[in-house]
Amino acid sequence: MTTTVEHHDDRPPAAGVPREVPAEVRSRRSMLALAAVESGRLLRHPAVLAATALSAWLLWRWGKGTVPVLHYADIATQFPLAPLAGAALLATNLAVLRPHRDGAVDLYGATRLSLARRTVAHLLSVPPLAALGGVLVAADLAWLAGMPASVGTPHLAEAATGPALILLGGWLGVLLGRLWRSVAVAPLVLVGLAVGSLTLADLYVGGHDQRSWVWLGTLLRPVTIDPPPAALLGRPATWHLVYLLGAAVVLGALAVWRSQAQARARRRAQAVTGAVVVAALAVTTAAAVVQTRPTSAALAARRLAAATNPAAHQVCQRRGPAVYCVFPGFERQIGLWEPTVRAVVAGVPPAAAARAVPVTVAQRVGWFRLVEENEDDPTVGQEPGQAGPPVAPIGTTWGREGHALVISQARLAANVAARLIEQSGTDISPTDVPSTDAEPKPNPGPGPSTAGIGCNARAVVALWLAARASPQAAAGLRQAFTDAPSEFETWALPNDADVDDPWWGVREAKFALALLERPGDQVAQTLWRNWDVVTSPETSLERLGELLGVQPPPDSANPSGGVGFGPAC
Amino acid sequence: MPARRLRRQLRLVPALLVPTARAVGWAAALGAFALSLGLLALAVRPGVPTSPAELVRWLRLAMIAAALGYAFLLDDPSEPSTEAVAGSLLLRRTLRVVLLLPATAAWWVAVVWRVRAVHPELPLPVAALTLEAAALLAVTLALAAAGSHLAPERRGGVVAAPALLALASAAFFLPARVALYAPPGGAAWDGAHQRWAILFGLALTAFALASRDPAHRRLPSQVRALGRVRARRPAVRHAEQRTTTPAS
Repeated sequence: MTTTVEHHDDRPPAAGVPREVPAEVRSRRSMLALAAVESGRLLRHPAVLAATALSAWLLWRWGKGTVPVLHYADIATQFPLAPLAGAALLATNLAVLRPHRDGAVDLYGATRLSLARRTVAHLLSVPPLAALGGVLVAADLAWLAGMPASVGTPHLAEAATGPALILLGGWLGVLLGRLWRSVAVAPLVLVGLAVGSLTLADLYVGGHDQRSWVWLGTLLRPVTIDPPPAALLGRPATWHLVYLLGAAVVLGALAVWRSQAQARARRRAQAVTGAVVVAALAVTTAAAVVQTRPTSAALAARRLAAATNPAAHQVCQRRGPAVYCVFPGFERQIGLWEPTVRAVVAGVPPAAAARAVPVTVAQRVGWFRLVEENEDDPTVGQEPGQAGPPVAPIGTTWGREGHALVISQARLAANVAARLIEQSGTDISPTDVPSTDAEPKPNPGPGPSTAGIGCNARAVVALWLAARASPQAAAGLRQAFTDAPSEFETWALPNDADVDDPWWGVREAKFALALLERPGDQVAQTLWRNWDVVTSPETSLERLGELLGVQPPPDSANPSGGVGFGPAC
Repeated sequence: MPARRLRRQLRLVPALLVPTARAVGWAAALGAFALSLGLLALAVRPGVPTSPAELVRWLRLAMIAAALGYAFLLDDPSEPSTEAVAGSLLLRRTLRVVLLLPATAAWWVAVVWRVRAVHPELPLPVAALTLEAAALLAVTLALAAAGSHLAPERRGGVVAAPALLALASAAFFLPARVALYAPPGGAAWDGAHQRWAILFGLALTAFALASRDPAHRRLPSQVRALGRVRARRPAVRHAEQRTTTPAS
């Protein structure tokens, strides 16, 4: 099977090729023919087929959960292509070593194709597989871009990183085959690379931007759960792509050079290959240096500004009972939040709602992951100077289905309910709240400390309101409460926490979930009748229990019960 | 009968021991153990805070790296020529595994020692993880034995190594109901280790079945009788044809 191409090459010229075709051209044609055969075999290799299925499944699994943010989705295409890169490494290595396994080395010596040309043919067999990876990425991004409410634009270099990784893996496999004849080397190298990359990626997640040298690895996950605006991402994607491609060319050229040395090829040919190695090495080193530069001071300052004063970086729109503040470009997500917000507002008595609206819903990102970790500045994310109504924070990721959807809805509903209750109870000076619908510009910056809304009767009311907004919100609250660590007295919805995200008391949550079991209209009537009492910060759970005729859950943490049992309450 | 056969086979062990030790490809196996320990030392080091779940994840990756060495353990280029010796294929293969066991034990002790030394405060379910390691190695051996039927010159490692990597990565994505790589302390931990134990048994059985000597394969008597009835006439005709056709 392996000698099919060489038979063509070996055939007397009269059989197919005109006699006057020079040997050099015939040899090149044979090389291309071998490359075509090898690329076909590579694409049909069982490991590659399995990895393609795994990659496609990983892309689909990642994409289906959330409403796409395309400048984050392009980064997320890289890890799913890693199995394909690993399969390329193994399959090309096996292909290069096939003559050794089949005892066909001597047969190859009788063909016109030199060892170096055969190596080049093996190298050329990889780009079609990389193209397959590119097709997978393009299809994934097209699918995501076609979804309703998708935002952002993909970065070409981020999208091309996955296919470049396939090229790197394939050419590394060829080089390993030319260096060692053992088929055991490639799997060991693959595992070493994979685990090494994971270690590096872990360092990156733990160490943020200070350890920029981790970019010398192959794959890096984004650091925040919620995508920041593209301008604040600060990933050296283009240089990383150049670095990967440069490294791939170094490996490929080394493989050719090694074959030339083994076959004692002409000096001139070896010199040319050597020059390619040196040039590619120079490019790779340059890209490595550029990509590992620390975050520029300007970007760090912009991130800090966005963390401390998000208002200056967001655009706000008033729609119905709420003002929505989003990062520029994220406007299409507002429509997804509106039903939940309206449903929560509908659960509040009209008079109280009139006092409370508009609620400000503002996007927040887990800035603490992007802002340098040894930042001693205590003002990050909690600027108390900017007095304004606290916002209902929402991430830049919105779930589409499953866990992500219910958690997103639960977070939004609970935060909106918290703000509604706070604002309907406390008198907010009208200067802080825009009264006109035309271009309102409230301050969506972090407000005063919200400790307290998560405790006592009004927390139960807020959580109950949130859970009544939609079945998904109720399911999300239940899930988040069940998954929360049980040893603490307060819990929060699992997200990149923002200072405006309330911490809910465990006892309050138990009470609210127990209330959900009772007829909703009955509870709503009682609450509406006693709205001022149940939303007062001083009303205890016992009092609320009396009003509703429900026994509040026992206080397991502090048997004396009452107010102030936890650090946050 | 089987007892006598077994005794006959075991009597061959001393004679086979040294040649087998010479024939085993030690480089791949020991290289895999070294790689596994190196990666573990890189990932689990003092000063890096780790959760029990992460620690167990690194241990599992170290197991996969070491199992790759087992993938090439059965590769024996001389197998077609040693078919004629008295020791069965299963005996010869088992001997290879037994020869590697001391190194395997040393590797596992080193792994556990490293993790214990770096994170003495974290609980480490050693027994359950040892079961996982043993099952993974057994699965690798079964893959290698099965792969030797597919690969040229019966070198199953070519099949076993990629298959092991594919299966192990797939195992990380199994749904919770049938999870193998369960996080420690979770509800799925006990169920997962029951599955590991079953897998261990299945893998050993598969290894033994795939290593049956083609020369000594014995079918149940009913099947043999059935085969004899069905094959009698064509076989006779075939034999006649053979004797009558001139050799070319």
